Amino acid sequence: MFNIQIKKEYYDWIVKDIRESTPERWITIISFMVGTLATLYCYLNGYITLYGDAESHLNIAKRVIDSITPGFAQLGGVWLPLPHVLLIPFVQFDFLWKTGLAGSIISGIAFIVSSVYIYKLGNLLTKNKTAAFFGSLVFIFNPNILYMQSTPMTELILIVFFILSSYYFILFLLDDKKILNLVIAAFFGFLATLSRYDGWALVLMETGILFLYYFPYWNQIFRAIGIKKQIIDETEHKSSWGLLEGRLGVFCTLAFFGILIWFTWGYAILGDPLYFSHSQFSANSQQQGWLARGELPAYNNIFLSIVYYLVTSISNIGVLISLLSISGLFVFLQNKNNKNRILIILLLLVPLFFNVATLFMGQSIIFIPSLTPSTFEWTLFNVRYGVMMIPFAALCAGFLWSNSKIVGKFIITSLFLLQFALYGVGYSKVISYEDGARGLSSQVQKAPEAQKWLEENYDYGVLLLDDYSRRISIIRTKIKMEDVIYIGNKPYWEESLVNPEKYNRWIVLQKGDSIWNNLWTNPAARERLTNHFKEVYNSDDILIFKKISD
Amino acid sequence: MEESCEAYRKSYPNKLMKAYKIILTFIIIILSLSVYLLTLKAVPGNIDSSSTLIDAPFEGNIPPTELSHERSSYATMLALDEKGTTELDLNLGDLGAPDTGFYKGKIYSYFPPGVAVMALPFYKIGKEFNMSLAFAYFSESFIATLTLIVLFFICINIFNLPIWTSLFVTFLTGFGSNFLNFSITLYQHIPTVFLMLVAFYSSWKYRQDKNLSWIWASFVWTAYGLSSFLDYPNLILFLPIMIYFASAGIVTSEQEGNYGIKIKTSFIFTFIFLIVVGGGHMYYNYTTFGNWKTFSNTFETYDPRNPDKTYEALILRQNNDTLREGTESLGVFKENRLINGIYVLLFQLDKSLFMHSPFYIISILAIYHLRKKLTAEYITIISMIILNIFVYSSFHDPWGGWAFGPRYLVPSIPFLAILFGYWLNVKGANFLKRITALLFFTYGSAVALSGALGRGITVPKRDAVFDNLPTTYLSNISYIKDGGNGSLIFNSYISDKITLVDFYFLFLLILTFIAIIILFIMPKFEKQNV
Repeated sequence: MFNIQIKKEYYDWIVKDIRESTPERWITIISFMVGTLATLYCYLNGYITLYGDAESHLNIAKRVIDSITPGFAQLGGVWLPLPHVLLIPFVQFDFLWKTGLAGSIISGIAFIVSSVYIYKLGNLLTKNKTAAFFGSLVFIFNPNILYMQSTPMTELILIVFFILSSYYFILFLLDDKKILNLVIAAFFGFLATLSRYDGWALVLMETGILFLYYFPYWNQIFRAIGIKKQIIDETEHKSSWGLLEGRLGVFCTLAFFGILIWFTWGYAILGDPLYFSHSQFSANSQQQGWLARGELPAYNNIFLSIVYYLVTSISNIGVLISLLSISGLFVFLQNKNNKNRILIILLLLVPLFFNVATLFMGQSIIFIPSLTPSTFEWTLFNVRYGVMMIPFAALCAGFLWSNSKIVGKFIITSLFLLQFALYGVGYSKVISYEDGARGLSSQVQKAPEAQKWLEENYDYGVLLLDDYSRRISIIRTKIKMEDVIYIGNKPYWEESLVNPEKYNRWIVLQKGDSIWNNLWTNPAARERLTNHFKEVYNSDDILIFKKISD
Repeated sequence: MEESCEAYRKSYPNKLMKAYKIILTFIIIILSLSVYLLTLKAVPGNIDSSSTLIDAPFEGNIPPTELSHERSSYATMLALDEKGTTELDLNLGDLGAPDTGFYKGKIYSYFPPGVAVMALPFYKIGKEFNMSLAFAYFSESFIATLTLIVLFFICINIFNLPIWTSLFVTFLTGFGSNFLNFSITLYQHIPTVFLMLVAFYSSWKYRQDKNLSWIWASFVWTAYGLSSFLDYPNLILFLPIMIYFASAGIVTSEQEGNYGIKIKTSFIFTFIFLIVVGGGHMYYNYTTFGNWKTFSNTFETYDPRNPDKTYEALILRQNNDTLREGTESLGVFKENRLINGIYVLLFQLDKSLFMHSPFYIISILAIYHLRKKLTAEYITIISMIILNIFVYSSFHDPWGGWAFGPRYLVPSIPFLAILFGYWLNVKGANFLKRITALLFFTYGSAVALSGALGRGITVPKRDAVFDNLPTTYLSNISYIKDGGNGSLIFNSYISDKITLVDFYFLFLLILTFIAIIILFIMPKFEKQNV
């Protein structure tokens, strides 16, 4: 028999150090270090702005402060404004804007706060610090999360408000005498509604849960239809109409205020309170194009909508961690000591309900290689929506840990480590990164030769560009934002489409875009263009003109 | 369930129990050898590289050389016998194609040499009786019989299942699933299952038997090492058993914060068996391919029927440096294939387990019943099943070519059958459960026999549509009706007495009758003794 002794004195100092420091502090340190390293890696390899959307978010924020027509109207009316508002202090620095690090800072802070609150929420639900710590590590070390937290994308911003709102909402469910928790939940819900549309589903679900929680006749109804099981735990709180009205009033006034602001904004700035849902730039309009091509597979198909989102989520969570999480979910639901466990799970599953609903209604689209037919033009698109389920998976992994004995914990840890091995040997892909690098969401994938030409040949002067198709990247060139005229620069844009030589030194025409349609397809306008500008670059679908007088 | 089995077992006098087990072991041997011999796909005569069958392997694609997988291993065996090497000449390369690879101007089978080495002694004996191919294929039947015996003892000793259940689990595996189809032809799956069960049983004995722990540990390491000679993914598939084994060899302790790790001497020193056997495989790779980690299944395909893959074309490409020379072995497994793979292996109405051995649905139900009574042994076998599905669902060809049914899941069948056996003994609705078991057994046997007596082929739908071929095992109905089959015994001695259809139904009837005895009569007999 070979003996290896690990005496207490060898490691006691580490344990003491850990015990003297709070777990929250450790989570903060670990998430900060891992997040910073991931961002550094992405920065050095040029991964931060792989997504076309990433640059758009940076540009929107930049235009608010640094554009030919600066102002808050540049926030537009399709994407919700809060992520761009948060970017504004950082994009003033051209280095942070062009590298995308402005977005990394915001997403990174959101990542750290999310990690801490996943721990706190796990601890609240399991009363087990180690399990909560493990759950938080599952979140921190997820490579898809690590990638997204290094980018200017809005997913981490939503995640942090989702977690914060859920944490305080669950605190309230567990002790409804502390109204302040409900107010704080509503406040973070308000911030979530201004971050991504998923946030709207969050506050709707929270409202629904409040209704379930206080509606006075549920258990009588259940009994009447033969369900003896007490679905809503009434041991610690009273249900009544009065309480229901009061709590809903407190919650909804603040939580839905963000949605009201957005409707008002749409009406005031763009003349249509529902501009975000049916303008030509809305997701809905884009999905119509896919539908016409017969490439909207989950539309009106609830089974495929569920399968698509579940597979996307599993691909983001990691297949082995998903197995742990599903087991953890069952363990949590089976434990009768967990008060209001069904309501809590309903709340945490909001991303699932929201994404399945939007896929079903044709409001969003996901292509993923394991499901999307290879006959489609693209088989990878929008898979990052699955990262929204990672906090849920992390919490469920924690539930499983808290209910496991030593052998179980050994198996859970082994599977957690094995998941990294699967990434290491190339079995699993960091799919949200892959979409940015190779999918339809990618900017670099679609970057044409003209992009490189512009990077090398642009010197100075105003550029007329329709950046909706996002094929030409502004941040990858020397162009300053104040030297760009795009669709949001009234009246310069409209004047440029009639009188291009008035402001512009450079014009980029992309086949089918507004500039092409106005200046190229119309013979008179084309003549005017060629009289004042010289074609300096041409390809099948992109033409670049430079003013002759220069 | 555990308590009742234990009580029942204790009620038997030891000697009677031993005698009973010995008798049943003999019954397993006789019955399995009979079933496998009656269905053995073979032709009389000494089939070597000069045989006409070898000259025209593709014409008609009749059993026993209907698929390239069996031909490829057979070709390696002939090369070993005739030239003492695993390198195939053009004649043997044509026999094994397209399951053959081209490497540095030479042709090799895609598969490790384990199956060929296993069949070689049988082939040599067969030559003496002018039955070389039949004997070579019989090597699988022989190993399958040994596998069933080990499985029977695993059910009794490790899982404490009643004897009638253990016997049913054994027969459900052997004759009620597509385990049968691979016991009568040359594939790696049956010897793989044998080594798995030996490793599992030896690991269990290693935990129990302190006196002979050295022997049991050496069995486990050897089985693990040998498995790599049969199929490369076995190194992954064996992992749950190896972890189970390691959990007995490595003991941890904790006292007042002091942690101790003790590793048993037998666990460490018997590791030499893995080094010798596994090292032998690496040495084979080194001497044959020039690199210990070069695997033949990563080579460029040699296929004389494909103009781009003929010997001359490959030589030309080799000279132009445009030849694929071994890709990363793990690269053939990808997570993005998982969903489709699980569907193909478990549910698709094509060649899935659902179509061939649907009893696994009940086995999943058993896992639910087991959730609060999971022992290390049950965790191990459930992990084996999950890992097996997980690995091959990620594979680029989860169908396993045109082989009969989901051949990649054959290693899971005994473990699924054990879980089925557990479910049979969960309290309540005993009669209904046994009826269900009988139905699943009869269905599984009917499907397996159709492949054993008909063609051992199920064409995946994707290929069937492309080539306009019949798909699923149902295509065997017309084949059997027309009298086409590859059974050596039937063709040689029975075909002039009864038709193949009658033979098929008679066979099925006998197997069903045996299942009825095990399910409905044996339990009563055992109860009386209690």
